[in-house]
Amino acid sequence: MTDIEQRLRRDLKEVTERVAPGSIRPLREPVVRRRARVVRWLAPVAAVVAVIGVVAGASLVSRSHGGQSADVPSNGVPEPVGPMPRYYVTAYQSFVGAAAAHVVTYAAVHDSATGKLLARVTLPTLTDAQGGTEGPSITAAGDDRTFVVTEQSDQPKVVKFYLLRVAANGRSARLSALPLTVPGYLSAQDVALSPDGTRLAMDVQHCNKSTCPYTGIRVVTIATGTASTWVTRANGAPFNVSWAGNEHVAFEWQSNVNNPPAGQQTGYRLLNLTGPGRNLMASRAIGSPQPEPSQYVPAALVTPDGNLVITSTVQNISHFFGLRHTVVSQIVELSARTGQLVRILHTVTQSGVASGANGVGEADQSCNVLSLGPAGMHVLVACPGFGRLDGHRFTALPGFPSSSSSGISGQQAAAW
Amino acid sequence: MAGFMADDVSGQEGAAGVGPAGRGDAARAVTDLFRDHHLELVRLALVMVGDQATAEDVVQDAFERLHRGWRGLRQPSSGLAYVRSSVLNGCRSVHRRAAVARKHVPELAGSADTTSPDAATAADDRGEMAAALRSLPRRQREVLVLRYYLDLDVAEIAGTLRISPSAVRATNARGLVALARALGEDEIR
Repeated sequence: MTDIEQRLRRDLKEVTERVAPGSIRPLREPVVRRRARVVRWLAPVAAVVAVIGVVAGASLVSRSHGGQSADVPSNGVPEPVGPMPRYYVTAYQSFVGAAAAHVVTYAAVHDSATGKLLARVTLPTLTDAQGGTEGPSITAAGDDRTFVVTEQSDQPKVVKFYLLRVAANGRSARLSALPLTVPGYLSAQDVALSPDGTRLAMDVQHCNKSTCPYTGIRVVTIATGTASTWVTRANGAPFNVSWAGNEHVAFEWQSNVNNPPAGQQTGYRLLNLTGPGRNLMASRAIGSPQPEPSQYVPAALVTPDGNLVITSTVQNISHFFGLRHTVVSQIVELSARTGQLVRILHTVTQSGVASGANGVGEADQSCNVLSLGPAGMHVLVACPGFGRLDGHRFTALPGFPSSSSSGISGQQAAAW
Repeated sequence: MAGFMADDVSGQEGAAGVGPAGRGDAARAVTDLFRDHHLELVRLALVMVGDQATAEDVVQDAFERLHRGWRGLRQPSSGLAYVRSSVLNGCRSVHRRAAVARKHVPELAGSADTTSPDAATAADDRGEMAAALRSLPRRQREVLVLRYYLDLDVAEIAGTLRISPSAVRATNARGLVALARALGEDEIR
């Protein structure tokens, strides 16, 4: 734990312990509701209306940019002709059982064209010392049938990898544990499977009790377990790892200092695995999304040729003395070389969004790219609705988030 | 206090027309949650809104909502997550109202005990941390408080805030960086 974490924990504890059990005034009796039956009926309705007000009811308008059909793009850029992955797989957790519920982890195979659920596999659920779970993540190879699901626990530090092989017809899947480990001195976050399905890339931090001497990208060959690590002692950490072809790994470098030295600024970078040396910062800075108004840096994926960065942007326009906002979220392609906007793939406008709280803060982070097909032309997105983007054409898909995991929403992942 | 809650819960359910099967379950479950987590939730609300009376009101409202909505919970075991989310929502409402009215500045804690130099220094430190926390974006503040005060794991925070685990991890990391900056520390050690 770092100094700042220790101080934060200590100060919060001291502040909160000033509220002694005996110092809290007794509960007041709830106000008798004259129309209790009606109110009770209205309560869930009100909740639904509130949610709709924030997300959908706030005049959520989703449209392909320019209202063009996928066949007639507005800017003359050809629409995708590469094959779309046949299947997408969601990984999620759900409570099962009666009052003493326990958590079950699933991987669900869906038909990419129709969204139909074809198969569902149960995975072992990794729990930590307190019985909690972090939830699964999932990453896909380029053959649209090979996936790796990762589960982690923080205390103790354990990472489990499972290989999921989907049958040719998609109606069954075989799960096997991969005999891979992450050394205890390394803390791994995001994991990505190479397009050829032979290697896993993950961002790692080497931390001891008080410091993190280095961070890096670790690439593990699945068949042998051998690993290569590109490291740096620069003050920061890599996140959001993905592959761009079989020889390059893209990642977000997050600097930990206000004014980082040249070449260490926060942003996405591309690491050439065939290049000389093992210096992470020898990687090349590429076009990056701007931090969103809440300073959230959205996910970005790089096409196999390394030329385009597919990511999301958010524009927040305030109205009515700042109490209402119009949030325009877009999935865009940027030039990896210059960072310039190449084209807008998808636009979602949420108008009448409330300030702060559940409103604009949520909307700022509600548009993300999730997974890029092997041809670099089809993208799974959650913006905020889940679906696939085939060029400019958005098609809503089911299964994300899973309707059965409402108790622990957020613990979901999707890939193809 | 818990007994009061249970009795009151039963009466309110009768008025609300909940069937006998749900009555005992709801009363027992809400009572258990109240007994085990009321103090912790008041403290959580205190960190978020800054004064104890408001924190107590927020938590009271959250428990009332929990009871009223018990039958609507898709998973009874998610009651604690529900009431935590409800407390955080209530705290956000307090901030919203305050922002609109422009007459209330949320404080992390009440006046510090400054009866001794050491206490004064400690209080200054806490005040500095309070100000630094207040300067963070709402979500970063919530993630840090859930992580370092309630000791929730990533999954629990994700469930409470209804965001993805990776967003929790990223927000936590960025929140720590922002907090260090706000405290004038150049880097995280």
